[in-house]
Amino acid sequence: MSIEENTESSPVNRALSSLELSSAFAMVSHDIKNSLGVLLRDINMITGSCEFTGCGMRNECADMEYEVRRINNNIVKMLTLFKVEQGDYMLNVDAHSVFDFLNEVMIEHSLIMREKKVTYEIDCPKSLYWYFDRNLMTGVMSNAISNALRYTKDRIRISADSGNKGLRLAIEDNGQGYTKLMLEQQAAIKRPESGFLNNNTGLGIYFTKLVLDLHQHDDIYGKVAMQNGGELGGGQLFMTLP
Amino acid sequence: MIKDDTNNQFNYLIIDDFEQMRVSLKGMLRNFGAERVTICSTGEEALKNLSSDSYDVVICDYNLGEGRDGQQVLEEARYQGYLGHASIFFMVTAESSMPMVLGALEQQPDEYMVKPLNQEALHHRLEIAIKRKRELINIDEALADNDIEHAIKCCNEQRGSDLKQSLYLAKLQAELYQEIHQYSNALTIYSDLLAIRDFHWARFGLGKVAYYQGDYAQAEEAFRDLIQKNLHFLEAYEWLAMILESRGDLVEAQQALTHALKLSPRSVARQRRLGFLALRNGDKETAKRALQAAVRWGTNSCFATAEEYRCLADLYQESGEITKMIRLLADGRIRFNHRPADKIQMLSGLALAKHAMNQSQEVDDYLSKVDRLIDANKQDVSPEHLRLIAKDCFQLSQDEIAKRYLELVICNKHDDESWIERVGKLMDEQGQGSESEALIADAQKKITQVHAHSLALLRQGERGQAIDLLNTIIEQYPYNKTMVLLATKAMILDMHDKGVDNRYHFTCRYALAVLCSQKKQDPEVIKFLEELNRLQT
Repeated sequence: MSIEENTESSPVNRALSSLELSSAFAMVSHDIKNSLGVLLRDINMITGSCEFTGCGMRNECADMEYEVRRINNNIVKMLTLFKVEQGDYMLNVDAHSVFDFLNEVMIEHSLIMREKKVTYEIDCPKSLYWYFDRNLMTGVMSNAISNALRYTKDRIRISADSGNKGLRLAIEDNGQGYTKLMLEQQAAIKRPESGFLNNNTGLGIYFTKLVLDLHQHDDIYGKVAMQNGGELGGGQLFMTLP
Repeated sequence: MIKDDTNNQFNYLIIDDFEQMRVSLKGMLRNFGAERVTICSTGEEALKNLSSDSYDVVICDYNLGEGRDGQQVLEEARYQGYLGHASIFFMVTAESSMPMVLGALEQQPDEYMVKPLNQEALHHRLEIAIKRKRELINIDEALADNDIEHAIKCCNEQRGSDLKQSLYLAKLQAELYQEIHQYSNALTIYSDLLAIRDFHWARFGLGKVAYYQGDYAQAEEAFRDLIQKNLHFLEAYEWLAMILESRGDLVEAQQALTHALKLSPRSVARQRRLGFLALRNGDKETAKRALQAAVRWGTNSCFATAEEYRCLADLYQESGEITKMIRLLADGRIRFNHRPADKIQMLSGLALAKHAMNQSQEVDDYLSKVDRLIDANKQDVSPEHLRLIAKDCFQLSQDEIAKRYLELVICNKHDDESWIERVGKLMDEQGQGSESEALIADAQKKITQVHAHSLALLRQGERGQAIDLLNTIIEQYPYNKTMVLLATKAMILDMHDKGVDNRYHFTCRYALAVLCSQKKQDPEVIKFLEELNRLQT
């Protein structure tokens, strides 16, 4: 926009410039995301070759991949939130094999799991199918796994089954579990002023809740809940997808 | 990692504009066991490869730089029949938000993969897709034989416990039902699916079915509803525009199309449609821009037609931009060289341009080329083509030639009221109204006489003579449905009695194919085609 056009500050112009600002924001984010894509690919190659040669910097590589993946996930979350905010998204619901889907998500993280010496198990009937937007749910699962990876000691367990409220997904680890504050604040997910959104886990949960809600069906909305304990004794994240 | 023997027999195609990416993908496929891997960097190159070889797996980057994008490659490849239901198309996108936008388009890849690609994940997805796709081979085979009923039967039988596959098959089945005009069956499938989930493509299907059944009000409501739910559903805008146009709401129709084009400007067909619509609205500026875009995005595209070239050329003529007009038509002449009817349109447009420049010798040259082409390609030049050329000839003050072409039109459509009206109207507009009645009557008489004579011969048992007479007529006027059907009937009867005659058989097939080009799945024509098929077995 030229300077002349900018001098006039009518409401229309102000609205325009704020629109342009958010578009610029989206464009920059896309650009960052593209760079991260290149970075992630290279890191993946390095980690792969480290694994092969038994290089001494393996742990640092794994950490690097983990952090870049986190930034990447966050940008994806932000861009998705942005699109939803703009009413510029569309849900692409298809039938999917839950078993294949969960395996695929775990495969994406397999290298980093090996490096971090974390083992995982998937407990899901092969015959389980569900309707959802795979792209969005991949974001949700990546976020959950990334979180579990941060706090687990050495195990992660993913399970899925179906009930009358929908598809139930659980991600559990054997770490310290969620803090007391997090567990207390989870009731206020949708109220940003509660301070819930001030930490990364909060943003992740907010994003998860949003995606689950987008899948509403027959007036049933998705649910997300955190808890500690279970078989592995660490954090437990439960989701219901209608 | 699973190395399956079958994986290395498959033919793989990689399309990506970045060399590093191509190499990396190729490596991943090699590790999957693939031996036959072709790589290319542009959509144009990809389509060339797809047309000359058959591929089982295509992995295509969405963003391919200057030329076509991945979606265009997918659409053209499917449209041209290079990719069947058993072949696999993976679309690779740079951002995870892209599938969200692309997901609203009618043509969908089998998978979206978001960069960066992970080898193990790619292998995992390929394995699953290959397993599913192999089950669809018999459907491809049935469709290749044009046996839609059998393909529908396969769809039905193969719906099993794999829900994803079942959904794909249900969607395909509903589309196939529409192709053979069994709309209520399609309707049932869509309604059943909508009871499961609010699939936007099923809503779209319901709208289409309502339209085909003649319930325009309900179709309109369905498309409007869909647009409200899903701003990116481009086809819904297109169908809405079509309904509005047929109802006479041209301005609103234009708005709907403009909106869709704002979201995706590269659609040749949509730009062309907008161009024609804007022209009807008297909005010549928009028309020109849209047609220019159609020509630009249509370069090398299978969706380009001679219509946008000719229509844009006419606009150039009106605004006195003769140089542009000539350049465009000369391009079109080369572009559509293999299609006589299109080439004729370009040539007669060039005649108009030369006329504007007062170069009468060249006008005559172009017109005699047109005349020769029409005479040599009667089956390719439809009555509508002839009417347009006649109109050009009137503009060039070549009234006698124009009337000759209009006579041809009537001979091809002697008992079709709408065509008789159209010819009369054109002559009225050109100040030839006084002669139109005689011209039409003479041409009609010519055909009705032959018709009566053939019937008499048939009654007298002179079937051979009748067939010879009818065949000379349908060779001259291949778009005359009454005569073609009579000739076909006589030949089929003859073959019924005396066994299959290759020459007759070929003539019948060819003649019926011309009618099919006018009206797809015409039940009367289909009836004869089926009888012809029965003869063989």
